[in-house]
Amino acid sequence: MAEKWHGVYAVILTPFTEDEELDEGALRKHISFLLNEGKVHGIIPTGSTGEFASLSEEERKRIVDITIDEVDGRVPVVVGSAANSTRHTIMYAKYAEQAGADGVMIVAPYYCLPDEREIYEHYKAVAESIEIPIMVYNNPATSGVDMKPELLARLAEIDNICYVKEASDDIKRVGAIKRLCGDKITIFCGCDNVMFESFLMGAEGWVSGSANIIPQQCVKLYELTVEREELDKARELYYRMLPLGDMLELEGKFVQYLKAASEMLGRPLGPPRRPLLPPLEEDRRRLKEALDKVLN
Amino acid sequence: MTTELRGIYTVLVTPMTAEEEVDYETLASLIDYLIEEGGVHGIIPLGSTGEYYALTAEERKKVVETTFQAVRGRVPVVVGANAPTTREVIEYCQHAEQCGAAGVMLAAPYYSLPTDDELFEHYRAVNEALSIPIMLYNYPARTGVDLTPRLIQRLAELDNVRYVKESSGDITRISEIIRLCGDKITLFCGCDNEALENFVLGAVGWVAGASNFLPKTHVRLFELAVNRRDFVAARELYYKLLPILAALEAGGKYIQFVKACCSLMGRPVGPPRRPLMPASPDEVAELERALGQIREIEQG
Repeated sequence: MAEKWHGVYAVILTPFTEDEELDEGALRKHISFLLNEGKVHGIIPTGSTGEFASLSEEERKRIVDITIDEVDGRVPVVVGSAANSTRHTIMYAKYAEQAGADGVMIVAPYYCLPDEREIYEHYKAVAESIEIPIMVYNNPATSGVDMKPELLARLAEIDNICYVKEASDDIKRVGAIKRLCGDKITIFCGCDNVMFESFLMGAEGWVSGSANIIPQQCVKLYELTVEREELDKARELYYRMLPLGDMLELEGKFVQYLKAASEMLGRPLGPPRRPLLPPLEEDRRRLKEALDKVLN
Repeated sequence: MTTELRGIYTVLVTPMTAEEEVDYETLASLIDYLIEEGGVHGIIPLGSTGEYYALTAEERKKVVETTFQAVRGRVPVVVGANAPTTREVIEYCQHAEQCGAAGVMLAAPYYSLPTDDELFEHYRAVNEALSIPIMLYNYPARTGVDLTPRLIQRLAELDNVRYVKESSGDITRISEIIRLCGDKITLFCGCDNEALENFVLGAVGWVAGASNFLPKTHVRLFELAVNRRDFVAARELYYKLLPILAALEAGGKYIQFVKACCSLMGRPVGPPRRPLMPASPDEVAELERALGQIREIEQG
């Protein structure tokens, strides 16, 4: 068994050129920045932040290959492998495993609105098709289905389901999962505005969108809260991060804002793929203000 | 100008083999049955009922081509062309147009949760890329975003945006869209257990999943309610149809149940593609009960 994952896992943006094509050079540069300067603890390509649902199969595989090559074993790589059918999810999960990923992150199949039995059988079939750990990812807003703690507890009984990324925005879920699953599952916070609370309740990691733009602050928050337990300092930093976190989580422009912010900080990653559009001037101004609060 | 689309449009199931491969032969014979015996007014491949989201681009192309070959120009074909990105939607729309589609049906791009302004730009780009009518399809539960009547009013200014299929389940949306958009939009019912209410309020079509297995009854209801405006007779038939329509809409398993009902009515179309699973024996028994006397009405 490999070492248990913990810390700040950057769920990475997918850089595009101006005509919305995958920008491989920018992707390598971005990963290298996150590891060398950001010192993040793990890298997650093709998650929601990476616009996986908007990528072709070929693009997704290419991103996985590039990421694993660029990370080069320095930190764990957990590959977002979701799709809206079981067969395609298995295909992506197997691809990740063969490419050398340390694990896969899988949100519930979206659009088709499976019930609990269908969700359970889905994850079971995927788990049986690979040997690396699975991080189950609960995101009711994008997937349309909510995996409650009781269902997660059932899923945690499956051998290689070892992690859960909780992104329902309901902070009470962390405590509930912890109580129901005990050590069977390790919790990662999946939101950018409840991570401090999540850590305090026992989350051991954070799948972080913010880490794309302010990785050092994200890592610092984790160190202060979890490793050093300097909670006053951690809370002070957290309150400086929250205006940005709230903007990201509450305004429905998570990817758009992250890409715009990266550009403002001198690391352009191009536009999101349409229908998502770069934010307008007024939003950019407020984004700049929120960034300034973290950085100054 | 093309003729106005109206009537019962069957949003096709995509038949599959036991291994979940698309069964194109059964698809072709289903289409032939729906037109020849069922008398439906139009055919829609690759809606949500057709599990378009779970098919590869190649499979989708082949489903569209199979549909046109089987329809042979007898009724209009409106192709479901949705995808998560603007670029893919445009590709699917252009393929549909080249095949001779009478229109395309477009839900909002899913998973990425676009804002109203992003949705407007999305549909504007699609509108510019084709010259056949667009049927907007509002289904917030699946896509995560709501095409509100106000947004639909904005979108109705685009040349090709001519139809709306409303599936939010909120019946007040129908009259609100009609009030806001007037003649610019023609409404299709997209919620089976509100069909008669839709017709009464002014919808002139129904994108009907249950017409995969009860086509004649659907056509008769449309005749009574829309063509003859005989609402009393329509209501009588509607109440007989409602138990099965309500079972489909209320169970949260629309696709699974429509496929199960196709079997119950003697025209099996295979399982849905997982994660969706065939209806359980208990669920099948319940569907059988809900079908009740409508079975004889359809067959008689």
